[in-house]
Amino acid sequence: MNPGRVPISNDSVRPVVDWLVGRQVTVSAESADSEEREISWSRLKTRLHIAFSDEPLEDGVSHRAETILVETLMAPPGDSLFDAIRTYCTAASRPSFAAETLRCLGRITAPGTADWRLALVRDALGSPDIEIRDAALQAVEGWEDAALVPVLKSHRESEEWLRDYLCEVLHYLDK
Amino acid sequence: MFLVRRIRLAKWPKTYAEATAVRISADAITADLRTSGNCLSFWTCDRDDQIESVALAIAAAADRLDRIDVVWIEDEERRFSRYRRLSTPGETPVAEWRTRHLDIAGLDHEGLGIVALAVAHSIAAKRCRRFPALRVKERLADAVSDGALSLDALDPRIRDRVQATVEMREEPLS
Repeated sequence: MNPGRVPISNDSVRPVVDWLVGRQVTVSAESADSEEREISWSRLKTRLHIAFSDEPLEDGVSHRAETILVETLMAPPGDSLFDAIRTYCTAASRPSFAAETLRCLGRITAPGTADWRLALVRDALGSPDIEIRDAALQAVEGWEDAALVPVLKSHRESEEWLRDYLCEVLHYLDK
Repeated sequence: MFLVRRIRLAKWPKTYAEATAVRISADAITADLRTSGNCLSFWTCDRDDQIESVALAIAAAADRLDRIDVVWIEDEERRFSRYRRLSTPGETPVAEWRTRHLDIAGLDHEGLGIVALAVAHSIAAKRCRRFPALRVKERLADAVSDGALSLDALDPRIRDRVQATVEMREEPLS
């Protein structure tokens, strides 16, 4: 036996092997889950794209995308899909699409958690795109969520007409 | 007389300098000036203090309670002289506004461009207004309370929210 090496018996190795096997199983389950989420998100994006291409979203008129989002948001609130939606709604790469998705979310009663909605609105108001910022305010109006008032109050809007809208929304939510 | 149309302000330029054919986005035209049978519909009113009533007539016919952006164009005779005007009933449960509606008919590419420029110039001249959804809800509740509008005439998705507002106002203060 080489000096400095601890003899390894079957009994001492077993827990390590079990741990490694268990970890391997866990890692593959996580990876499969993540893959599933990736597919779900990709499928959702495609469905929304098709819905918005078929029929532009109009104020005051229900849209098929609302149903698609409601079905999707039946996932548990902590689901990574919510993070993907939030990131997408505030991404400036496709601002019109992001804004339309956000406006549809505003038509759904309290989607996700309060924290998720707060982060969504805060990020959207920080967007350089005016359509996304406008959609964020519209979503707040739709939810009539007074918990979002501090986010609105801390936002510095550069466009005059949108600033007026923000003030009016605050006026009604503060009532 | 003014020709009034619902638009989405975010899609349109806001200044005279930007109110040109090359600065008006294609999205603004395809989203807000969608024609049907080469007709474009407008509400009409005589004074700008009637604009909120027009907005309510539009909101009462909707199936979603959303904010409303409207623009009003001065109806100069020569502007649309090449095109026909058809008096058509407005789709709204507010009876007094049904007759205040018309279509500009026989529109072509040039005609749509004329409308787009007229909309952009009106926005630059501040002849546009946004009514937040929560204000629209309050005004619809006013109309219901005044008997000008029946709750039953509203889409159920709007009716529930307007009804809740009406009932909240009727609750005695404790």
